[in-house]
Amino acid sequence: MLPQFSGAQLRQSLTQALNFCLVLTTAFMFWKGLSVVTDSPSPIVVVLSGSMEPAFQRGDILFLWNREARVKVGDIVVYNVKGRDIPIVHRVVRNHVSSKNQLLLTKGDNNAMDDVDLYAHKQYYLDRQNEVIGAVKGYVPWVGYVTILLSENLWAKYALLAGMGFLAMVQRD
Amino acid sequence: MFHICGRMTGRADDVFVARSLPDLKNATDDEIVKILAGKGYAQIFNLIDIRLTLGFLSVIVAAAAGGYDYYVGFEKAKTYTAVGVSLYFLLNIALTIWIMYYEKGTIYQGSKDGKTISVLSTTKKYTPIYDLKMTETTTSQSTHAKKPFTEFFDNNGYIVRKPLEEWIDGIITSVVQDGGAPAMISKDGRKKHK
Repeated sequence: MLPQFSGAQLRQSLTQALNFCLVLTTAFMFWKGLSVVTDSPSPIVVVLSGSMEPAFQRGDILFLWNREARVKVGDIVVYNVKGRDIPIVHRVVRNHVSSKNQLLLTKGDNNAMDDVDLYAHKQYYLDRQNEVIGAVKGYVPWVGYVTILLSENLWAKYALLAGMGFLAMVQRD
Repeated sequence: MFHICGRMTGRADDVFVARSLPDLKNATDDEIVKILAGKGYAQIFNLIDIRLTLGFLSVIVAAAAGGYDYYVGFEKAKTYTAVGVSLYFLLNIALTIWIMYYEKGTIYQGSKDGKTISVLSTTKKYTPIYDLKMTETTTSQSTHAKKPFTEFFDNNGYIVRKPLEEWIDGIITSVVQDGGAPAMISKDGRKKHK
């Protein structure tokens, strides 16, 4: 009687573990799916600095679209400079277009100078294909402040994950 | 909090307090599984195993797609990520269809002495009645019975085994005609299901 009962209990534990995993993987797959659809490695970003005020404030959430082969001057783009890991959200102020590629010069609305200092050494223009991860197509104000808090306090991130895991295990289906 | 502690210690006499309709159904389902185990039925795990396999397969797909994307970078992994995401959602849709149309509320399958029984349970929203259907799969004999939860839960939300077990005994006898069930069947058990 006892060994057979453990078979049922093992499956019960596995089922609960599965439900917990599915919460995480479904969220993750939605994110990756959105990534593929928008063709951007990070389709939703949070504004981290005040360099685009008054248009965007710290904590605003931006939605990106990266399927435009050529962006327009005046568009707001998000880019990663090669070698730096934080993406920057600034406006396109100048561009050079050819059939092969588009080179962009960007500047934060709230900055006095353009972004050349932010680019790599001896780099004066951004590569639209390789460095721009999307143009901003929409935004939600302030909501992203939670993620700023999470990224700046490590314990908050673990607390959130622990809370989600706890809830998934407590609820039965 | 109580019932998590109970689950973690894994004691057979989990002190589970039911506080909602899903709680009531789940507690009853669990208790019936234990009752049938106690009667010497060997549980058949096929349905559960298929559900677990489909589920974990989709988790593996997600992990693989995520891992590959992490190591190779978004651009290189793009096609594989797209494939991974589609496969993941296909598997999960398959899993949902499986649960909805094949399992259909089956909470237990087991066999004893050559007889295999399948137990389905359902509850209707906001109606505190436990609806049970037991089928003997070789003879296709089945019994459909209902009982309000009040008949086997006490005031504090604890499940009471005795009335539930007596009810199940009666149902087993009706389904497994020539005595797979124990000798002790109360009159209550017989009268209540029709």
